[in-house]
Amino acid sequence: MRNGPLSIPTFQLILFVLLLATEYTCSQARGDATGSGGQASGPSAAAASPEPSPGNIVSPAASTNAVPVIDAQVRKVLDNVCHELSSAGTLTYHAEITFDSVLPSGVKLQYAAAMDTAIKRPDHLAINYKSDLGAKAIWYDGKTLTVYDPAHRAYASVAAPDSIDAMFRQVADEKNLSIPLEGFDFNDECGRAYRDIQRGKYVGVNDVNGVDCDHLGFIQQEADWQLWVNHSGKPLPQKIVITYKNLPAQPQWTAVFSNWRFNQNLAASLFQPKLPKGVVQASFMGLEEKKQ
Amino acid sequence: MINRKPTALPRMTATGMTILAVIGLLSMPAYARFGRGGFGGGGFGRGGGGFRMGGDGFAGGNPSHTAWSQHSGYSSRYSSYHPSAQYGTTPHQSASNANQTRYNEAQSMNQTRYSEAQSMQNKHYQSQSALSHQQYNQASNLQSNSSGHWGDPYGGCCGSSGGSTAGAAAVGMMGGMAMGATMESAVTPRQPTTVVENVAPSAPMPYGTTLPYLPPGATPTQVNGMDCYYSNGTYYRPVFNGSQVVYVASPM
Repeated sequence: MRNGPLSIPTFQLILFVLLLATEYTCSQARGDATGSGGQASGPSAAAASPEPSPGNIVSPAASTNAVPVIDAQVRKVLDNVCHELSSAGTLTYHAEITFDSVLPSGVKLQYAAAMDTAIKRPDHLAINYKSDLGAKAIWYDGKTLTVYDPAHRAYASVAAPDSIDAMFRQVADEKNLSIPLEGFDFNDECGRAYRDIQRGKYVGVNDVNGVDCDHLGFIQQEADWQLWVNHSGKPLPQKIVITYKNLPAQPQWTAVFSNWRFNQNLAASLFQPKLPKGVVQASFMGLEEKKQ
Repeated sequence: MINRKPTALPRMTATGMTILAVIGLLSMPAYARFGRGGFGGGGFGRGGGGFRMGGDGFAGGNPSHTAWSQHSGYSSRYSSYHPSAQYGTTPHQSASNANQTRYNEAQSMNQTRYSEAQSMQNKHYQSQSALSHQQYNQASNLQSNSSGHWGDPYGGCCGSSGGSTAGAAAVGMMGGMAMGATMESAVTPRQPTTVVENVAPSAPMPYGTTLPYLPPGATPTQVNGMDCYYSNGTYYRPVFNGSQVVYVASPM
């Protein structure tokens, strides 16, 4: 009988179509999650086509075991940058930084910072960092690493290995201490950079403060990042944008570089701690303490 | 026989609904259909944790090593900066501290305000110029603004920012007080100001408790040659958790 608005066969047809549609959308969602042709979400993986085109980076398979896919042009630019930076006996640069702070509600705020870095290879480093929300100073002289927080009037020192690379590894592994832009400071920069890259794509020649730059895009497990390098002249980084894609609201950390200076005479005192009177000595939280 | 007339309308209705359902489902992105990403997932509707790059952004800038702090509740013992996550305790301590938990929750808002105030105070201490002051005040006020308008647990209420008022605010911070501002105040410079006074913990904190900032009135001292601070029966030891300083209640 057809007394109701829908007959049973019609209702079954609707259910069937809905089931089909649901199955289709589920398969789309699975494809999205695995990067197998589904539509990628997020600003750092904005392509739907499995065959990438310039400026269109496709997220690789989620597996970290996937063989890195890096454009030849990207390798060339990155190798040039690595060679330029790691071959310098001394190196100083300035970075104007912006970074996102995501509030518990999801509201994203942007703050600013400035950082000056001085490197004397292979075993000296000094960093002066000031942001809207605090400051840090770091001195490393091949034997000791000292971190000073002026806002808290506290510092901590730790014995460190005799190379910048080994020091970075040690403090990251044992002290959970990450140095901003440390990728530019390594003596062996390219080896480090290529270690974590899953995909590298040449985006094109794009502008940074009026300078034509090679714009590179990289995909890694925890974060995607973009690098702008002088298109002509010395292959120096002009800008980097890191997108922490796995964190809520995908906060970004951006630095625009200037004042690159190479092979200058850097005084040894530059790498010695300069602590004001009355500051408090702190310790680093050990891994065991963290686990408690 | 009598009831056979209205057959076309239900069919058309059913067909139309089917088409609409299919079109509707297929036209939406997969992540939207399943509630992932989009505005609700990554944006304002998310009720989950908030993130900072180690408080002052220092822990960012490295794609291979994420040392961000998360402030999303009471379980994260050593997460830094945000007060709501600062009062975690070691397991053997937390079991006997129901009152402390209640105190922690009650203190969370005040501690938030205190943290902001302390930030500004510290900023004042280290500031190089009036401009940096103003920038910080505005940023801090904006952060507080979010509480009133976007449902953040930050304790801002009403206040002002910019110009001479910002300078006055910075002076006010020196007394260990905090203020917030409405979003509108960023546009309208002069607004009523509310000052919230912070209260130090009234009881000793359990050992192992970590705070992003010292309680008001904590005084520097030395015990057995070690630098620490003392407040209300508790010694606090400054510790670098990564690049961020936290204060750990210690027996000393």
